Amino acid sequence: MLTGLSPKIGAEAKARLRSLYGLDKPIHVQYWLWLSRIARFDFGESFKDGRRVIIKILERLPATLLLDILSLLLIFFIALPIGIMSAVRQDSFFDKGMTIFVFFGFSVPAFWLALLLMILFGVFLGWLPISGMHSVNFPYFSIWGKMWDLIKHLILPVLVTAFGGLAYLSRYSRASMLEVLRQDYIRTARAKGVPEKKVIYRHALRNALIPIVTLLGLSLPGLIGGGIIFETIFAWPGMGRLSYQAVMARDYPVIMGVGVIAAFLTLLGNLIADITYAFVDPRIRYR
Amino acid sequence: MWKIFWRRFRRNKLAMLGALIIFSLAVVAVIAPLIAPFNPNQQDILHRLEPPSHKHLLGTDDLGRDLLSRIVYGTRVSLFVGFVAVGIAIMIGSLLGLISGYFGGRLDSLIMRFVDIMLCFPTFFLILMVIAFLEPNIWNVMVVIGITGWPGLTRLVRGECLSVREREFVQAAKALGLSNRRVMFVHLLPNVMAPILVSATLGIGGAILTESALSFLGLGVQPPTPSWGNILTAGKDYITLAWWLSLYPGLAILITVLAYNLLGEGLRDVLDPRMMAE
Repeated sequence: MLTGLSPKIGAEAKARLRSLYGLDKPIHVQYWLWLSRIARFDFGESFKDGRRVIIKILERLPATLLLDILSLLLIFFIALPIGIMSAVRQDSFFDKGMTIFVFFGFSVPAFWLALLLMILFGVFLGWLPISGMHSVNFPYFSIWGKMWDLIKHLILPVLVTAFGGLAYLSRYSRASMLEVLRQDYIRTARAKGVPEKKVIYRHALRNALIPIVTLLGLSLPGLIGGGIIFETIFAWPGMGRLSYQAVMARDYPVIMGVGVIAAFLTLLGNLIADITYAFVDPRIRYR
Repeated sequence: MWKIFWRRFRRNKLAMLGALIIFSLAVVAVIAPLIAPFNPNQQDILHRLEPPSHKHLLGTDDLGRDLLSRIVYGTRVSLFVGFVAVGIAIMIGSLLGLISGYFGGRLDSLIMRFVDIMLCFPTFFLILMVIAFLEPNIWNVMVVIGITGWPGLTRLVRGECLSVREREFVQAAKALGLSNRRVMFVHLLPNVMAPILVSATLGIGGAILTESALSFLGLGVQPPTPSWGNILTAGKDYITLAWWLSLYPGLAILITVLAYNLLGEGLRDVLDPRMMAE
């Protein structure tokens, strides 16, 4: 790293910098020092403005979580019914339409979709703002005005963030529902004359939900990764945009810090997935 | 056996469509200089940001370069990156998966724990971090997409190996005293080829998406080399002035990735023995 410095740097200044960043110690000691600081969420200071990395991340985290949680809710409340419906009416017109939608969902570059939506709603129609979280005159709005302003800024980012997950989850819930509908207990329920509606919504749906619920936690890495692009496009003041700016500025402490936090959130997601799994499926018990 | 596959594949219209599109794209990539109406890097400042017209079918960009020509040349980048990145991922993934599934035991848990660690990081984020430490250019992008793309495949191949390993012909091969390497590559590998092929096809689509996203952020293929992703960057900069800069390159990505997904899903249907019954 120090090789990139000015060649005119004096030996003394060089040595001072080396000891400041601990580069004079052997590599395994350096690694241990780094590890023990990470365990305390101490990522050092940003190269760019000298502020502590953890504070920079924490002030960006709420915006990202707001975006991600809203997207997750949207994904679940739209994808689930779509998946269930198309499984129940397998090979119907609706089912075929959904299959096509899923193919497009997997193939559309979401950042391109973001651009198109910005052009349509922001530039041509002028209905929605295309960047940022608040309008310029935000502080002068009433409390409802503030809410409405925030919602308007949220619509496009949430839609785009949710898009990839929508396709994935509707397909997954369709497959899960189809699997359950093939089971013997469904046939039993039908054979003993349970009304079809009850078979679907009582017997089948509950069992189909089990694997789907766990996806909630597992879809977190995708949202965080996608956030880098979407937050950059929409100038959303979240963690993704922070990491993009850090990468562009080669601000290594910030990059590493965001990386650790992202991995931490992913593990948290996995943990939540495991716990909800045990919660919704009484057959699974952790001892 | 391949004849049966071919017959079933031909009946799958969507997969055939995908294969046809991919073939045409490959042709376009190879004969790009013959198709492109202009030199993709020929600047013409007087005619910058012109909407689509008879002369420039898809319009011009912020430096007056012909958009159609740039998209045609961008095909080369996308297909190349897709193939090489997935090639790397497939090699690492299948090798580790084979080793893990065949030997089992401590080696298996070691590899699988490593896979778990890799899957902890959001992939796109991991790629971005590595690119930040290296230099953004087409080679690094390919290699990084490749070396972050293998963990899922490793799991898949390992799972398949675990079941194939117990079959009689593998037992027989071992009983004959064949070397481990030979059993793995000659007897196991062909039997786990189907899922590898499917995930490779789907993976190319994914790699093309990742490359375009990276180039869009300015961390992938660097201008003036045209790539669909970095054309879109200009589209974003001139979003209020030139919609065509945003629309067409994305359409190219969509069609290409869609083709690979159609082909991949088609292959899955054709190669999956469980589907035989249905």
